[in-house]
Amino acid sequence: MTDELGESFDRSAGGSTRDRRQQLARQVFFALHSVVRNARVHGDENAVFATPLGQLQVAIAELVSTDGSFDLELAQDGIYVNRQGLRLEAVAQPLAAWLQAELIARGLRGFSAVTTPPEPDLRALVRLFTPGASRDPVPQLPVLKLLLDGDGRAAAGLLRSHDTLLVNAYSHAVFFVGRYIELLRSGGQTIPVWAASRVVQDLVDLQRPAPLRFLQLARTKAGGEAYWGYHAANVAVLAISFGARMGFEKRRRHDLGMAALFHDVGMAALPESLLHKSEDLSDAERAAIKASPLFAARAVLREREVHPAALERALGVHECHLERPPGVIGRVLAICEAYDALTTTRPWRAALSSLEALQTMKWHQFDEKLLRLFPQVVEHLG
Amino acid sequence: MLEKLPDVRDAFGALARAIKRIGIYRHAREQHRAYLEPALQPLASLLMREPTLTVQVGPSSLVFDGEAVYSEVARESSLCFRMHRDGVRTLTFTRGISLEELLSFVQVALPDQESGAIGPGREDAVTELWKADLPNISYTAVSGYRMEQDENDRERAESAIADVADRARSSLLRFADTLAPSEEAAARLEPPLLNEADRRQFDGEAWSVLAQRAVATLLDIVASNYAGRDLASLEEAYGRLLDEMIERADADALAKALLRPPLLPGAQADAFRAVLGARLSDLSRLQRILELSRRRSDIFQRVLPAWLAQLPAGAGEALLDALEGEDVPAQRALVAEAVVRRLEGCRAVYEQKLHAAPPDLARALVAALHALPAAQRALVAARALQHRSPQVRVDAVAAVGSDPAVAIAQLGRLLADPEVSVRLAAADALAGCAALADEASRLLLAAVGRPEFAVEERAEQAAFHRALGRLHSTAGFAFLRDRLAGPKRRLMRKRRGEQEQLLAVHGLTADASERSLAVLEEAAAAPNTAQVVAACKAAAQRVRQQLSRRRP
Repeated sequence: MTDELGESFDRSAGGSTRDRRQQLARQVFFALHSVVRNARVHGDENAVFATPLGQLQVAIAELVSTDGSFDLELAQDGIYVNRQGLRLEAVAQPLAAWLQAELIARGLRGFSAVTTPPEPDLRALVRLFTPGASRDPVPQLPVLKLLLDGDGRAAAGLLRSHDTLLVNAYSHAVFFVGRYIELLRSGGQTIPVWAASRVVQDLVDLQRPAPLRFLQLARTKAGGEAYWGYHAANVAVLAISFGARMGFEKRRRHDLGMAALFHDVGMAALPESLLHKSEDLSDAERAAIKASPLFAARAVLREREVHPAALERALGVHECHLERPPGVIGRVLAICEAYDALTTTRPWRAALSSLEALQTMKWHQFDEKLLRLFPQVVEHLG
Repeated sequence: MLEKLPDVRDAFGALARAIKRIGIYRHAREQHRAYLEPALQPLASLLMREPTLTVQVGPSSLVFDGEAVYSEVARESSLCFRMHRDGVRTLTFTRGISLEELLSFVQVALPDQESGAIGPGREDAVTELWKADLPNISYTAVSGYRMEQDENDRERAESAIADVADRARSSLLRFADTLAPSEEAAARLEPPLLNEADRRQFDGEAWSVLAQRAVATLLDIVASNYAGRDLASLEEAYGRLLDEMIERADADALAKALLRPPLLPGAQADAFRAVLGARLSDLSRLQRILELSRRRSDIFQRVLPAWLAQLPAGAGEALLDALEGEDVPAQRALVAEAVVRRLEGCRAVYEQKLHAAPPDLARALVAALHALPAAQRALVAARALQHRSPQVRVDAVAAVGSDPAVAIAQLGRLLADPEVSVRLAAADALAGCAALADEASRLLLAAVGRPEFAVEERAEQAAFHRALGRLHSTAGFAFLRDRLAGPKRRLMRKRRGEQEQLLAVHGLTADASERSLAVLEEAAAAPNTAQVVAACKAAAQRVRQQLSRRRP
């Protein structure tokens, strides 16, 4: 569906009808947005749904009575209600993108109805977005028909759009770490932490709708000086995936992702020649490498933040390199860090396969419980 | 839209008032709901009419439909400055908003505390809003990640990011596109690997635990000489950790955090300690820790001594200021001792307090002088001899008496002090000045010779005579011997003579020497009154016993 198609439809419609449809489309959009957001935290019986479901019902009823049907469709260039493009202020665009991602994540490309959907239909709609509810196959509703991405055309386009976001967030994560280390080395003003926070927020948000695609990003590898950026971003991808699989809240997944990005910035304190040395290390060189986690902690503590997330980050980047990390973040990162390092070619050895890496890790001191769970997280990287 | 404007203004006005109040009583968290309740109703009723309400966030105003609905130029009390600074550009409130949600939102909107105020710092507003995950309050923020510093950097960054993106896209094409949609759908629906109970074990640790480990890590960095140019930032981080520990009255964390700095090795340790010391001697922090210590015995026992031990030499005046109004004797004593250890930096103020501070404080300051060498103690304590409180003067007399030269110079006039307790203390102190016995005796004899002395209480007179005896001076002994020998027999002076003889017996008993024994035995055999004879016999017996104990 293209802009021209929507515009031609708009041009063919009477002005007042078009305006009213736009109003109703907006009402549908905001009500649906509210329903989907609330469904993540409330059961379908919760009173919080009464208002948006009521608005949705009223708007659909009017659209059905005016146009003979109600059709909401997702397309690459936006949302269409009764084939009229939904126009939103710039400030509401992110809400639309979020709603689209949520619908896509459930294999939906829209809704359709020829009569006003009754309340049970709408309550069933809520259940569709309740986390953990079984939707395989997605149950069809009696009146409000769900447009499933059966032929895959719409969904494929949207998945590509999702991939673009994924690649964008991941590449910024890689860039952030590489640049951060570079600036630390040169003594320049480092990039503010909030910039990394935005990237990690996006990574966390993008993991949920497509967890397997998200995980595949960890296959992106690089050597040389670029290694540290890719390694950190991969550890973030693995840690966020691990956190999600364990059922961590999104704020905890964010904490994991942030600590992952910073976990090796201490390498900036070491001479580059040492980082890429393929021969055996001297005692002094080993001592220098052993000191790097303290430099990573220093890089975080220099921000002078002492709220829990900052402290966990500072501790995580240090403790993940210790034999028995006392903190949660350190324990998770230690496993993800080792896995990514082992599956990457380094100057002194070739990359191990996923299976080999998991086998090797069994001989090291990781949190036993977490180590038992980890293979289930990375099974799709095998 | 315009017809809604007054209601929108009312709603945000109520919200701003609530936020201001919560900002003032930031730490009274249990009250925040009550403060916010009046702000919920106008917003909720507005949302009953319109399902959503979107406002644009400016640096000093919130704008609805092109009109400012809230405006506050002062950053420290603005509900939008922080959000705008951190990149929030719009806020959308939707119908169904709850008090709980509004409360979470307010925690984000609260302005930063003034610099220097106690606080753990915060994540940026966008991250806080994102983490709060509020179902009925959404936001938009400035787009992009903004990692470039300038135009040149931008080009370089774009190129580097594009290169990474190519590689990442290639990974997705090679691997992700082989995934069947059903696999992705199945992955989304997979139940968590941990049950709720197990997952809770991986929740964030308590701040106190994190802070203790962070302090240990930070000190490891300094001890290893790895702080480099970040030393000042690490010092600040350490200081903030301490501030937050104080705010939380976390005795355990504070005690551990203060334990290690004095022992810290490394080339940067001294600089670190200097900054720490300056922070700990900040008056507001001192007052806060003293206030906590008054209420909490664990802080008094475990934290306060460690805190005081790390104050720099120049912290005396701040400590003296902090002592004003201190009403717990043990704490007063502990702090006063800490001041005395830093006396060189605050001697003038200390002496002024000895002279003019309230009696309880002045007494604590006098008592704390015990740690000084005798001569210095006596000189400083002499300032308290002019205090209006007799109790302070009494304490000061004892301290002044620790150095005979100062005692001789200072205590003579106090033998005529209006307060008997002071006169007695002065006599007692002079009795201890054996090294300058003749000078001390002269002062005591002068006091005894005053006409007023004859009418003082008998106990005081006896004490002065004992003091003379204890000095073992030639002049003192001669005076006592002559007094016991008695006046020339004249009827009018008979009674008075007997009293003087009995006082002399007190003095000779205190002298407790062979010569005083001889005088007492002689007087016991002489034709004195029965009372004098009895007193001399008893005194001689006591002296004999003391002498026999002294002989090997």
